[in-house]
Amino acid sequence: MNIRERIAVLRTDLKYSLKLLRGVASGYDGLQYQFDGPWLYVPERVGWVRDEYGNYKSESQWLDFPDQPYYVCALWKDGSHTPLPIILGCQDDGAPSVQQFVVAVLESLAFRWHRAVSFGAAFEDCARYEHSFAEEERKRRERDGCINSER
Amino acid sequence: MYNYFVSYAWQAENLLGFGRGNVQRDSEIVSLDDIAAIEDKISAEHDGWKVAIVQFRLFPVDERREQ
Repeated sequence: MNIRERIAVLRTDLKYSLKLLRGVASGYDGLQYQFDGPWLYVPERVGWVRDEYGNYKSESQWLDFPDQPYYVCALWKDGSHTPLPIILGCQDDGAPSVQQFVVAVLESLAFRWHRAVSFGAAFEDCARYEHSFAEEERKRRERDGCINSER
Repeated sequence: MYNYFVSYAWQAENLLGFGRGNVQRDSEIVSLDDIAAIEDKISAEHDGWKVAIVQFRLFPVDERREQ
């Protein structure tokens, strides 16, 4: 990579870092996804179920969503989007970036003050979505009789 | 009350110290008591291999919403 390419990468990195900071400062709105058409909110089902003791408890889960969670983004109140893998830090390819540093700082702040930082609410929704997606995948693999022998 | 979203990455290598595999990643929401069992679970999945945890992050999520 020559110096010009490095500058272009750094400029893009700074642009997305600033976009993320502006979004977090404006507040968190919800999770959205987009395929071919407009952005749509990821549907969530809230209902009541009985637990093992027969008591009713509220249940909140993401509705079945027929695709990878990597098309899901957090929507900020200024209208910008940040992809779920960026927020959860799943795209760590070993190359340090300004955006990763910004995410790490925001995560650390949200860990201490949780919902006081809008990033905490976004992280929580992304985490719950990622978890429910992984659980569904695991159940599907068990149902289909696939054994995970990946090593 | 909070559960924890745990994101972790690990590498498995054979007991002779070579043949290290690719970094694998996973994440899940678990209670505080179950966090310590994650390493055991990964080791059990790679029976006969040595497992090195290379990344471990956790973040509290509201268990009332997550249920």
